[in-house]
Amino acid sequence: MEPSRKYLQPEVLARLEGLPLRARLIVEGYVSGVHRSPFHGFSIEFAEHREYAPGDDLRYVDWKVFGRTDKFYLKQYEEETNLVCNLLLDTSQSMLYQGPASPMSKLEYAKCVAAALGYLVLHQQDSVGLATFDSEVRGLARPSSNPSQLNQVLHLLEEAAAEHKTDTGPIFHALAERFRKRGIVIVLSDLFDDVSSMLTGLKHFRHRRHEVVLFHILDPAELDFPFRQVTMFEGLEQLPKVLVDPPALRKAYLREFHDYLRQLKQGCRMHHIDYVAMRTDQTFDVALSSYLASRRGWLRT
Amino acid sequence: MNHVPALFGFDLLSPSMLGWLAAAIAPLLIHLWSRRRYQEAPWAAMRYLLAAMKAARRRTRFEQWLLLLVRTAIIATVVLAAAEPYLELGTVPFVPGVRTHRLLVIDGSYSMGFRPGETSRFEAAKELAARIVDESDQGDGFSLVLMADPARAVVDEPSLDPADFIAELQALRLAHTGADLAGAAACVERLLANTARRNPKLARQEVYLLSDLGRVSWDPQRLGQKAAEQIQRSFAKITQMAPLTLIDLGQDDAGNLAVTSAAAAQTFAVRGRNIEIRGELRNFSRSPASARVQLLADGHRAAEETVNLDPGGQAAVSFSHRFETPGNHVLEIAAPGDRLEIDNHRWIALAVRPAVRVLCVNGQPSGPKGSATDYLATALAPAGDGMSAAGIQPEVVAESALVETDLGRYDCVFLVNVAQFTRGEGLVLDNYLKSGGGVVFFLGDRVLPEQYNQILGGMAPGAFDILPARLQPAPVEKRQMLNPLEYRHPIVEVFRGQERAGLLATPVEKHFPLEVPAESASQVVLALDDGTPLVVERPVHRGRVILVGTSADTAWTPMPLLPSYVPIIQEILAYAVAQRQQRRNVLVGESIGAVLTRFQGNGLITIKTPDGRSETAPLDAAGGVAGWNFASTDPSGIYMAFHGGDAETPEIFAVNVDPKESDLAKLSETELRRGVLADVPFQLHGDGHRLATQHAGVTTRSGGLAKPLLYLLLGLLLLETYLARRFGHHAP
Repeated sequence: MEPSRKYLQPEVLARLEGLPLRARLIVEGYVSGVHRSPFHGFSIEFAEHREYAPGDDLRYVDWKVFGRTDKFYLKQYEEETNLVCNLLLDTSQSMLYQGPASPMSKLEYAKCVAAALGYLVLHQQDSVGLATFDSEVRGLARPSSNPSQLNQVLHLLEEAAAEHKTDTGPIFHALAERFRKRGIVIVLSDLFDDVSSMLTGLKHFRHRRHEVVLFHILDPAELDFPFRQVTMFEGLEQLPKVLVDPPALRKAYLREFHDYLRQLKQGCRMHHIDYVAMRTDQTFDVALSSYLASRRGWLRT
Repeated sequence: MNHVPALFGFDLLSPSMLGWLAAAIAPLLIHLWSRRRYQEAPWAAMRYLLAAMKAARRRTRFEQWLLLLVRTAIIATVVLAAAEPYLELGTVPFVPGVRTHRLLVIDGSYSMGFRPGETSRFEAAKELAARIVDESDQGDGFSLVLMADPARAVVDEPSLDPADFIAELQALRLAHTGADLAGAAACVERLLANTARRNPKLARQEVYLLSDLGRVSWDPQRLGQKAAEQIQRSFAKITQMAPLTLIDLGQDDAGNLAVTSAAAAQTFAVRGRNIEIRGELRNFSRSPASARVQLLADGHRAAEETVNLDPGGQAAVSFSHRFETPGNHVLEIAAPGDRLEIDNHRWIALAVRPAVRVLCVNGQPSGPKGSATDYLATALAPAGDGMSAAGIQPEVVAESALVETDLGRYDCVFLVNVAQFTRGEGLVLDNYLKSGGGVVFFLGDRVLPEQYNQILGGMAPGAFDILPARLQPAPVEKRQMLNPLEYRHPIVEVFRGQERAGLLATPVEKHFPLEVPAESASQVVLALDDGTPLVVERPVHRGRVILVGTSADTAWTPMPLLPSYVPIIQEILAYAVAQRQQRRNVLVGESIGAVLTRFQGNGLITIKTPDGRSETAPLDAAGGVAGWNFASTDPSGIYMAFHGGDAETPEIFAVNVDPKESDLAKLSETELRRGVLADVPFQLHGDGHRLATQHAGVTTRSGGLAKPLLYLLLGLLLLETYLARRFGHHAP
């Protein structure tokens, strides 16, 4: 493994402080592993040529045409503006959960993913925005391709604290109304909410012709329920305490949880939402690959 | 009625272990305790956990209770197995898992020789004992006691090798004796205590007693109160150390016909003269019986007679036979044909002489009324030709010849009015008595009573204790008549109802008063009117001494002139010589032996037993005579003693069984529980003979439930594992 790729491992990254560093290391680690650079050349589609005028960016001069005609022509692209990527980060209390075998909490993991995506998006000359939410929108950075946007996004991420319960449906509706420009909406959440309400909210994004990618961030303990001892589980987000003999209840719990996952995936499929399951012990490249795949899909439409 | 064993029985060898059943609530306590000791953890996916709890509440509760039940059952099963439960299915209990000392006591009395079917009770007992051994576990020890008389430990140290033990068991021979229950109980008590002390690894002990429960051996009334109490105490101690199991091999309806006595009417037999043989038979069954009784002389049938006996009745038979050759002969009365063979025969060993030689030592060769032995010699051989019709041959010598005479040639010695005896003469008489001879003293005016008492009465140091009574210092001169003392003594018994014989009319005018020592074996044969003993006798060594307090001639009594004289002399002679004959005819367990005045060989006597064995007995020589003794007279039959090699004519001894054991009546369980086994815990398995002869299902290895419980435990553990995994109580 190349040294830089080790930073794709959550347990390695967990030992490092600071989101900017984490974001850079994730992206560089990811880039070093792919053959084709994600930063240049494929984000803008050629449309026509126009004659050069002083002040134009020399990077866009078509030198082949100059060689044939001795005239300077610039390549004209179909859309001058970059892709808009809106990151929606769930900062509800449930995101604070960190299982016994996990290197970081779901919120930390989601922040790393969001920071890395922001870093990647901005380096692709695209615009990135960020909204943090629980039952309300707690922080918002409007989309921008300005290089200083990264600092704003990262600052907002670092400031985000999990203190309230979640209520995704109304939030998604409200944000869908705000995001007027078509783009990619990336949701980072554990999605512990009512599935139908949540899907209705996500459907609203689709209605606005956004490409929606759902990063479903879960702790391994939530997926496996590995507890052996009798445990008093204290519910996050104002849910009650319950005393449970985990081995006796494991099967039933897993059945309920997989039912929920099945409903969620089915809804996502139905509404053409990209569903990406992520475990907090999983490498980050899955998130970046999923984003890039979605971006390509967005550009094709 | 036979005791029918319980078809099914359940018991625990270690009931105290059941206290651990309280531990069965441990799973419940652990469950409750574990619910009190829990860890706390935050949980995000709580809505799904709550939904799971709601959906699975009833099923989870059922699963938890089921698992709790299985785990409780596991502990209960372990505790129950530790309590060593066992079942009985009509046979003996077994306890696997614990090294056990099994002490087998087999009744060896000859009533066990009874054959209710093809096998005898004794063989059935051995068969059952072998099965007990076969069905025991490896590491168990076995001891064996034969309850004969005396009882003996055949294998006293517990044998850990079943093959060796069974070989010992198979070699066990039925004794021709009764059963010594008290001795057997004491022996068992001793072996149990020894094993507990020396073999602590044999943590458990069990006693199995296989007997026909005959009344002769088990009935307290026959045993006597003291003996019964002693036996009861022994068994109480035994059962404190080991559980007792009785296996009854007796039959309620067992009948038996036995020859209960056989003897020659005469105490000596002479060549060419008829002897009368009297026998007695007894029917011990509840129905009439008929038997053909045979007289066998030296193995050849000499006479036969049929007798019919009522239930429980007796019958006497009488035969006459003469032997034409002197020597040792065997007579046998046999009534064969019933199911207990041992008591169908009785033997008589008979020494047939050319004549009965009697030495008369005359202490008064001549006097006013002639020689002191004249009347005596005439009374011994009335025909006057030197030998009586009965074959008695008296020989008179002077008192000075006593030391020089070889007394071994004579059957009896009469010492008549001998004044005194030297120590040398005393030694001669003492040795003669050791060889079984008979000595008769007649007194008279020459007798020095003090000297008699000193030398022959044992009063002087180093003297001989021969006389049955002490002589008073002076004779008493007073006319008195004889008192026969109700004819109790065998010598005068012949006069019972024969008043015309004149015994009561016989006067004695002078006599030496005789003082019979207290607590001696002496018996008064005849007394005088005033109760003074006149004739006293006692056995001395192997012989017998008879002391007559008056004269053998008419000096002190006119008896020699009266009709009573000849029969009284004849009876005295017969009684004096009977001892030799009696020594040849003994009961099983009594010793046989002889004193030899002349002997050759290597100092060992070879004895051939009825079962064909050759045994030896050492000669014990002292004071010019050598004696041998042989006590192992079991089985019954004819024993032959060779003094100097096979070529020599052997001495013959008849050993007969004690007829008491012929009574096959047995004790009921109720009588047993009220008798010698009162307050003694024991298990009784009836009809042991059927148990031994049936090969299917009777000795099924029934006892131990520990193994089935272990299988159950294994099953429960597997079930618990499966359920725990099935219910999600194991790690995936």
